[in-house]
Amino acid sequence: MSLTGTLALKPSPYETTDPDVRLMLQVRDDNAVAFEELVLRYQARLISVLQNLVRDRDRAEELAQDVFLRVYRARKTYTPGAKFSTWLFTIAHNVASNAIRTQARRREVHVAASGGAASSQSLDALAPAPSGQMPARQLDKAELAEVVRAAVDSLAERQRMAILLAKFEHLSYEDIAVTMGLSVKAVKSLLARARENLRAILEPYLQEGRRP
Amino acid sequence: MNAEPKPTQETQDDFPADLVAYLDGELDAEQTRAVEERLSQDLDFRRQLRELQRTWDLLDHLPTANVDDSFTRTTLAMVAVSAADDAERVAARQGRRKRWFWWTGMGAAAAAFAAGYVAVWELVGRENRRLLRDLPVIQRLDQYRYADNIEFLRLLEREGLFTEDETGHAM
Repeated sequence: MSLTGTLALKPSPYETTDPDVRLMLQVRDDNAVAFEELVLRYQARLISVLQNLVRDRDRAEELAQDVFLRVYRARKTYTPGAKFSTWLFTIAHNVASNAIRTQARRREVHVAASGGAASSQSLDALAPAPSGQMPARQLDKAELAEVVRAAVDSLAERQRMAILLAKFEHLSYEDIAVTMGLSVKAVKSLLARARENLRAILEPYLQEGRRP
Repeated sequence: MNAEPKPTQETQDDFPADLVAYLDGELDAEQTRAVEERLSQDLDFRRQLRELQRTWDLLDHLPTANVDDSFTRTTLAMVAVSAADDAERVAARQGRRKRWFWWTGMGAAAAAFAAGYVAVWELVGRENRRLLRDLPVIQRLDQYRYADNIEFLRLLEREGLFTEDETGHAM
């Protein structure tokens, strides 16, 4: 779906309801201060989502810079057809998807070159022995963070993206649908499967200390 | 409104998705009521809800980014460099376009001049060639005046009277 497609004859409703859209319209008029303000507002949120998508902080920062660069380059054709965050995360989704595909291709080449001897990053391989403690046990924060991260990493890319947009960006199903180029019904189903998968992975850990 | 619809296979299958959508506040009033009704009756459904909510809350443990000033600075610097490059490219493109118009204009002017020259040369040349062709007749115009009609002259031409030999005299 094109968010900057047709020129609106009257002001978009997003201009009045979304201050970030107004900032972006100032960026369109070459206001550098407005662009800096947008970077400041979104950099941490963007890096958080990207970091959880690509599992690498440095790579996430590079991708975030790429996203901001694309935003700046697209400024002259920008027309507010959605909330600014939806537009921004649509770009981020495209950038991250491309990066993940490239990363996967590189990994394939690497595996082929090494005769398939490279170890996979499966959760089973990462998981140490269960602690054996029962539900009432005190959960170690670092361990919990690691387990949650492994659980999220085990989700398919699209499920991960939908979860991150819903959890961190509090995007509605409709906005997630726009961001990911899906129907609202597909997003509902995607999120249901993602959360069911997380429940299936994390509940045994919470109940019995069984690490995924 | 109609009476409450009986749960069909489809609506039953939608329930896990509806439960998640319920937690996300994405259901309309009727769907919300259906989920809440089932929650009030179905112990297992309530357990699912609790577990979904609990695992959702665990996502708060995912890393969130703390961004320092250097990221902002480098991002803005990168965009500034890119903007300068873009401006340079635009200027270069405009320069190329200007040169293209200049050379195209010059080419068009040269072509128009050449076409005019050829046209004038052709026009003047055609007149001269006609005079040259008619020269033998012109030279003997006084003699031809004695002929009474054109048919007689044509007869003389067929007999080669107007064809000149190498010395320029009529044969």
